[in-house]
Amino acid sequence: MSTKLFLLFLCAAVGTFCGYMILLSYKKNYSYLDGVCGMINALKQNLSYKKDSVPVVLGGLKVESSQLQKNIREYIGFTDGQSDGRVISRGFLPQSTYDGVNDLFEAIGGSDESSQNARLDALSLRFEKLRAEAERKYKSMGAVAVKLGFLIGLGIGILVL
Amino acid sequence: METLYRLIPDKYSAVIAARLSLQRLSELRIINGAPVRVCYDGIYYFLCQSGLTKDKSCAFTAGDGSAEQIVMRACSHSLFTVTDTLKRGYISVAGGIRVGVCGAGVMQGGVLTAVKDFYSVNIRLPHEVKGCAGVLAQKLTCNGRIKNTLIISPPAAGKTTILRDLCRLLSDGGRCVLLCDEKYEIASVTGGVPSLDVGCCTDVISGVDKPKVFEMGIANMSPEIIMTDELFAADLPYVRRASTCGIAVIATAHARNIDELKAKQEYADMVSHGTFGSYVVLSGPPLRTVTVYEEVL
Repeated sequence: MSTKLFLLFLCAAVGTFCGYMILLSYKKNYSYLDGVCGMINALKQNLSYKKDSVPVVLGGLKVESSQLQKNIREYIGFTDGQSDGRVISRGFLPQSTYDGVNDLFEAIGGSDESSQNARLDALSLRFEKLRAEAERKYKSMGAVAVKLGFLIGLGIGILVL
Repeated sequence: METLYRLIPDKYSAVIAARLSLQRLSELRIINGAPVRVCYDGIYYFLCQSGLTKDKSCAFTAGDGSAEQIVMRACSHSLFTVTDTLKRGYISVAGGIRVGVCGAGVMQGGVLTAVKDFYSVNIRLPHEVKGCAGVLAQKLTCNGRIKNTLIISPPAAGKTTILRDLCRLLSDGGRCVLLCDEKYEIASVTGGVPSLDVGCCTDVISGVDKPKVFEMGIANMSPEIIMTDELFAADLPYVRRASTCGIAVIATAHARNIDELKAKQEYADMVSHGTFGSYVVLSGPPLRTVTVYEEVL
């Protein structure tokens, strides 16, 4: 009996874990996009007064997402002349986000102040939308995934037994 | 000189680091598709794998996008930080390095709005020669006061170097000096700290036009001396105003000698009005003489 209960528990735990992993992937995506939005805001704020160079602004940012930290390091490395071409690693990013991020890193610093502001405004709108979608997924579908994972695991456990 | 190495391709920096002395290197000129030239001890050579050469066939040839690459590195890939200076033909880089830039202008309604298609760059390195203005500092003092002084020389003869040292000596001597470092090449303030020694009593205003500095400085900083580089005709009324406020002005201007200076009408008027009490004429390399004229008629 105890073995059966243990197997049931194990199936439920595995199902919950799988659901939790889905929740984490949503969270990672949301955290990344939240960081990108923060980065764009920081660039816009700096542009309106201090006008520091992009690597200085990005280097001073506190970013939660490790993928975004990596992308920023890659960009700063490129501006420092450590690499000849600008390469931004994709990591876990979906294609649409990755395309946006590439556009962002290509756009920043490549024009005068007014063009830069206009470009950042457009990119800000684009990433705000992506962030809102990612937040919705994280908050609603993430919780559902955990619950569903638990229930599926439990169901499989019962069926197996 | 990490800043210089960050700007230029690795193969140039490797040769410069291994075979040349940065103290003797004053310019690096890069033109898209042309041999790379350097000014070493005041003489132009081509840069090659073994160091310097007069034979352009064995010199490094810059790639087609070299100028743009250097411009982007000079502004840390942030063109918006240098738009204004780029329109005036240069970018100031940390450490007092000035990158002169040539390219195609973008005009709108007769106004230059941007520069594109970068064609060539001239990277000018600052030199700090402490003590080079020692004798000059004494000669410019009369009854405890500093005379209005104009330092003249052709380009690249050491005006900025001597002005910087003069600033350091007068400032360390306890005088309140206001330094107008429009192009960040005299004090080269980075992050609020000067990279080059301009003395302990020097207030530095960087990146601001001379007229504005004269206005701000006289009103707020009560300087005894205002020092500035590369005076142009438009700046002369401000110099006159400062000198009538009891402030000594030490500045530099481009001319080979006083006759050449007087050939420009605005300077001729200034000379005849006696705005400057002393004129210091520097000759370029290899002689590098310094001649002081007390009275010019």
